[in-house]
Amino acid sequence: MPEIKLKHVCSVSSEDPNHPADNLLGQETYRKWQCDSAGEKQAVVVIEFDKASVIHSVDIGNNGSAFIEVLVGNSLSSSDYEVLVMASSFMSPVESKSWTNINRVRMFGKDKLSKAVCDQKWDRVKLVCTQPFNKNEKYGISFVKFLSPPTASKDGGGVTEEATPPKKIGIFDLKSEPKAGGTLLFKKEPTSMAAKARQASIELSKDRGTGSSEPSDKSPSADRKRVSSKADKDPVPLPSKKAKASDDQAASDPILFEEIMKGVVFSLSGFQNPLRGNLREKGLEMGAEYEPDWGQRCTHLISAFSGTPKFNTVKSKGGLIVKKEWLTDSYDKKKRQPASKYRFSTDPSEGKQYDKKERDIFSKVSYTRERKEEETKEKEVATKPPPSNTGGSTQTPPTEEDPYGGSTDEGSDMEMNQPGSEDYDTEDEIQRVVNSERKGNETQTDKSTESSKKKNSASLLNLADFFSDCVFLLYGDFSSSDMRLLTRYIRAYNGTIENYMSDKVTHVITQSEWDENFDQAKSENSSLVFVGPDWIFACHKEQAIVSCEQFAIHS
Amino acid sequence: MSKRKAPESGKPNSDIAEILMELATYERNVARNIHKHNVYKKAANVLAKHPERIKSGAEARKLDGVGDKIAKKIDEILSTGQLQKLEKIRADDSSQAINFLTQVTGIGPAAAKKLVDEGITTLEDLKNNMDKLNHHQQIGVKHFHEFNERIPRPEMLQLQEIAFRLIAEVDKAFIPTVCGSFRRGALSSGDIDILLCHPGHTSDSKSKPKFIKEIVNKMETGGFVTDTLSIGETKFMGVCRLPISDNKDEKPPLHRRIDIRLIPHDQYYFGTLYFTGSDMFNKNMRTHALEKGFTLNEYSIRPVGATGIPGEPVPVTCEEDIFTMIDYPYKKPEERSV
Repeated sequence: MPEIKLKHVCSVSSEDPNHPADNLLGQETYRKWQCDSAGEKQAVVVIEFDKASVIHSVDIGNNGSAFIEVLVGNSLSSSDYEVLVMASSFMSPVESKSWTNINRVRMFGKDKLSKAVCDQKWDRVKLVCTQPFNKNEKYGISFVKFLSPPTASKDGGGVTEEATPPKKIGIFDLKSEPKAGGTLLFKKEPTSMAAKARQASIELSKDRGTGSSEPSDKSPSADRKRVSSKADKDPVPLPSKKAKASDDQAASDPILFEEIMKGVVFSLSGFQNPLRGNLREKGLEMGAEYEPDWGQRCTHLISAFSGTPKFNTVKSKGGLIVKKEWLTDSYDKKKRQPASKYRFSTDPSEGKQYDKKERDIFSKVSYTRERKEEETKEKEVATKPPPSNTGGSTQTPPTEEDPYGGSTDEGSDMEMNQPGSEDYDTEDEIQRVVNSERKGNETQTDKSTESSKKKNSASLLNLADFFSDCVFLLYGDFSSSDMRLLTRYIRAYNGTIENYMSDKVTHVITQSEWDENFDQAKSENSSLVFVGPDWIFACHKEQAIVSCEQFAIHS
Repeated sequence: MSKRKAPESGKPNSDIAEILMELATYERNVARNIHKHNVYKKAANVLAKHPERIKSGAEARKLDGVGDKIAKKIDEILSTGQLQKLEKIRADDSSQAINFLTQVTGIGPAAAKKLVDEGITTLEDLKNNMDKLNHHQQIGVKHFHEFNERIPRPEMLQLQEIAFRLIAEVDKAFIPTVCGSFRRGALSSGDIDILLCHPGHTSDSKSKPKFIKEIVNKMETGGFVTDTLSIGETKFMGVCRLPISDNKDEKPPLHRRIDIRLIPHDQYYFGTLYFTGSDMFNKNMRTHALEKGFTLNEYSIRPVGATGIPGEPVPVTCEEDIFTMIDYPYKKPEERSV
């Protein structure tokens, strides 16, 4: 029985800032929703499905409600909600008064659902909770699951696909996050940005001498071809340009995130947990398969350092051996990076072999989306000299540590969601400007350093990056809007967010009171700073790091 | 429930209340208007409860349940000592006959009207036309005068003891309760009304239990039950009496009406609450339940959902749970004679 994916919360009667209704959308059942204050007459939440579905059964985990009723409706029709699960008892009056058994779970099978409505498709559900027996506690729901019929019917199959858990890094949804970053940039300096983008696009077309970059031209294939043809004309194709081309491609690549690494079967060597688990997760999320030991099927070995027993075995068998950045960069850029860039050896001929082997691997893979452009591109690459023939220094791929990786993603994301929108145009132009700027840079100084590149790009877009040296840990609960803003700001100003406490963390953002966990963390890392979220907002306002003092949380 | 309620006498307004009660009876039996019946009954009840003598219709108007028209009627009663409308009804033979016939168990307003239309108006007429009556009504005619006698509380206690003993002989697990005015502590009752449940019998049970038939068989062999008016899987209506004393000089005990109802275990306390009454108390309690977002009936209490559709029955373990649930101060059975 596939689970019906919940898209968003349409409305909620009230929500505790620490336990917002958005918690019901996630997979984690320990996150709950409850009303804002004790004694509310009823707590109501309306959730919209990803798509209209037949509901076959409902599982509800209680969080202090005496009765929970489930109604269904359609977002398009104005008709009233109809009862699906009649108001059902989750706690007796005695339990309510003593506040015991507040987390009872009940499953409502088809026989418990209203016959009149359970055969139709619905895209909205309304959950009505009441707790008339105890006016001193907040109440709500800890989780709710809707399951569609188990048959492999047409819509059932569709739902299966939809029901896969959303791709997440920690708590952030990958799809929505870059968009948020984009709007933040826009909010900052809308006019000048657009102006720069326009100017840049003119310059770009001059530089290319084609004049083909009308704002309306936003078809990914056209864009890619343009870059490719440029590369063809170029008498001395530079590796950086090659990388650029693939980078551009990433910006407009319609490939699904979960298929980036389709066809890859990888094994790990020399990594310890939790990093090992982390890498494996990332690989699997991108559609790769994992083998604990190197076998016939394996395509890539991800090794921590050269010379491990596995490394030597794989090398003798002629397998592809890459550094872990191959996986993490591909993950961050939502685009499979060429393995040759992440080799251990600097032997250029080996890089050539790597490219060839990878082509062999991926030529067999069929993607969900149309991949014609990609194939054309691959052929073009094949006819050109290998990327790494210009020397060791270019081994460091320019796209590595790209501070605007997020913006690159932005382009592809926007495009997938709303092709042809104004936002997209501008974003795309900006991207092109960044690329061309960097390209120009690299042509002049092949061995340009990361920092100078960063500086150049920064001066172009005038982006603040005052969080560059900060590593943040978001601790405790935040309202969804706060959480969104915090992550947006931190990422926008080039800060790093860690999911777990480590010695890299410099700032803990929390709304909680001081507790012994903080003492412990402080004892392990004396330079750790504990600040309220307002500090981030203040920094955003000032466009610089402001003093933590006012916002610090003390013991 | 008995057809004859204990008269409320000795109260300051009992005369007015009785006249209104008579009108209520007329509305139910002859005019067949249950709503008017309820209105008169409510007014009669509130007047009977009023601790001081009402001096005018306007004064009565202030009481809950007395409106313009009843206030005018009260004025008429206070000034003339009688009510024109009631005198007319009393003067109407057929009204009187219908009212009389409905006192027989098994004869309702409809059957009474039909019989009166055929010229049957007295107890004698009924006895001469037994073929026109069904079994239930025949028994009613047979014991007419006995059934009209109220049962004093001491006899109720004896009847209860015998009935409970016989029930326990069938199965000790039965939980019996004598409801009605007896449970409210009334000094006399019109009939005996036993509610019964068995832990093994719930509303989900598929098989229909044979409990009632077993119990009635037991009671018949013991001579406790003398007649059966009707019997089904869950309800028995019949006639019982105390054992005949060995002393031949003593008058034989009177025949009494007895009802036994088998209620699913999960609905039992709603049944005892309902059948204990009083009916006014039940109405008030149900109204209160609705205000609190619940719907209460003799089977269950259910939360009312957002669209007004009742939810799932909430399980309870005693009558008090029901009061707690709707935040209604608990009343012992003796305190429910509203």
